[in-house]
Amino acid sequence: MIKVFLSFVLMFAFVSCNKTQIRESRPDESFTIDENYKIPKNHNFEFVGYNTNIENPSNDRRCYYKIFIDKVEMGRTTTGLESQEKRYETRLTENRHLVTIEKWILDKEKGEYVKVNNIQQPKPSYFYFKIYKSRIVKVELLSEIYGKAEYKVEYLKE
Amino acid sequence: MKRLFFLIIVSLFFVQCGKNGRVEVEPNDSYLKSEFIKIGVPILGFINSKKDIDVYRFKVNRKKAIQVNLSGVKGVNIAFKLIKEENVKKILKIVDDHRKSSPEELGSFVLSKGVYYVVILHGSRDVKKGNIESPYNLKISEVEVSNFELEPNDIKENANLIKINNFVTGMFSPGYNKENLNLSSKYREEDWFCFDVNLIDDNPQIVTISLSKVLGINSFLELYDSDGKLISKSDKQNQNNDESIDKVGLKKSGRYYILVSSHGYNSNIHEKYTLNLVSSEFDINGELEPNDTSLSANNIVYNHISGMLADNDVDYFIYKNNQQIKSFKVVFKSEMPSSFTIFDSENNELSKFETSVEQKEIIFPNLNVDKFSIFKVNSENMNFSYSLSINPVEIPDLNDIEPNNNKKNGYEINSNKIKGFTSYFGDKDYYIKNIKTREKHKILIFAPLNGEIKVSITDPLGYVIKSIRAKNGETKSFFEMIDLKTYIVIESISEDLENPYIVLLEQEKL
Repeated sequence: MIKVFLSFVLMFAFVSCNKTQIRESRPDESFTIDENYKIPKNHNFEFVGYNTNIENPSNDRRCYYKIFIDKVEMGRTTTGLESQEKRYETRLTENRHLVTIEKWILDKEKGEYVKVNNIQQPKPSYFYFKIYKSRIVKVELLSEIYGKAEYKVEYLKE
Repeated sequence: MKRLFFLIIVSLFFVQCGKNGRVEVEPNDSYLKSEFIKIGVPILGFINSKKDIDVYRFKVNRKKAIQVNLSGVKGVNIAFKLIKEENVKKILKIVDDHRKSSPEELGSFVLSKGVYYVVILHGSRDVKKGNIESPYNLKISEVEVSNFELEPNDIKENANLIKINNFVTGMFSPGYNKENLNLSSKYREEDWFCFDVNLIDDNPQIVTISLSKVLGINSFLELYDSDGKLISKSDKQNQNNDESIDKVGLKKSGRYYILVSSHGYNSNIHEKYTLNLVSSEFDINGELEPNDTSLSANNIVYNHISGMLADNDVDYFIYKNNQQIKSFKVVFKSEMPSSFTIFDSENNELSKFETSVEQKEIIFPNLNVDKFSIFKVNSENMNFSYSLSINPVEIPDLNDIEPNNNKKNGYEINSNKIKGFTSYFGDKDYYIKNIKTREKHKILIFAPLNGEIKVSITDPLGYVIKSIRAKNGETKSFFEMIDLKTYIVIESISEDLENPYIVLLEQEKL
């Protein structure tokens, strides 16, 4: 009886192990290697930002986002229209990180980009995320004209 | 009693007249009835009706200069004509200031031997009327002059011949030349002079013509060739100024004409002008006027040229770059003119320099001209001599290829080093950097030793993403992303013509 019980326990353990393998898609078990996840080569952090509700091309301005990681200016996204995806990539240490963003808009008369006022800055302008070993995290910013922003986080798969 | 009083008055009048000279005897209203007067003896007369004219006759035995003074008549606009008795009566001068009650004057007028008439009449303006109470006083007097203009010289055909390296004096007479019907100068009183040029070799005759200032006169001076083509002029547009046409090069033998006149019918019979005509040696390194257009530009033969800029004058020079020198320095041994412009051989403007007083030289680190370029030296409200030389300069590793003042003619760099010059205030140098991927770069700036620059990095379209300033040899750096293509714009805040700026682009890890 005890043997049968032990067998059941072992089987349950194996099943549980298999289930964990499946949950490998959850990044909190980064110590495991799952072939489904993209393995970082140069970068392990991606930021993508764009506006979601621009319908009139005349309101679609050229812009970029300045990126601060852990309160240090790291760089900026590519430039593009507000409705287009603007991207920034870098490599970060395995840890929990804070990304803060700043939106800059092209002033055609001046011929240069200027920081938009606080009303139009994305709100919230920050997001916490975690970097795991062998994972690429993508933080996506979806914002609206008057700054209302939503962040999505995703660990990229093949 | 009344008769007695009248006699006393008349007696007193004649006594007074006696003091001042004779009184006219009417009728004297035609040449035949003209009244003979002597030079130096005044005569009193009346314009006693609206139709009255008084004709006086006088004789000149030898060439002499006279002055004619006619006092004003209260409430009457009077004028006079000076006429010479020849086959026909020839009007030499009409003097009429168009004002009531004012005197008329004609100064230092040279007359040759002959018989002359002075005709006193109403001026051309105002209602003609007589005045039997107020007489005029006419006086013709002899004056001493030397080298004086010989009137009438109001038209080119009657120009007075003067010799080179000589002078002549003259007067801005208060006359209207009714025969001058030229629309742009109607009735204008003009003095014409001429001189002859006989070229011995191919070198041009260099002459300087100067006109002295006369109080209250806004004068001008013009030089014409025998075909009536304006060669050069001087017009400061101000009263009490002298005028000068400097070192004009006359390339053809023949007769040349000088016009002296004034704006606004200004006149002054009390002060003479002096017109000087001076020749100078032809200097191959000297400016040769007229060179006011690119077509009449002077050649710079031995890398050196000197010239003179009058007010609003412009001088053009051609520099033949036979040795294909790309980097050279223009050094002024004098004050800088207000601007200095370079054109290519097709007259496209390459660079324009608004110069400052302290500046003495302009460096052209790499001027992209193949054979020759045209220099334009310009002056505004200045009047000075200048001297400039063009010296080749050796500058290794230079990326600054002018013109590169905008995105279109930005210079593409293949290395990660930019070396250039802030050639003048506001100079902008555009460099283009193309890369294959998106990269992060550290931009390291070494400011010129004695200047200040602003370095900007742009997006691929050329819109500025980030700018930073550095000055006086400072080293500064910043990081920036380059999205496949960027323009690096270096703007001169304060120029340093001797020391270059350097910008390094170092790729950083992401």
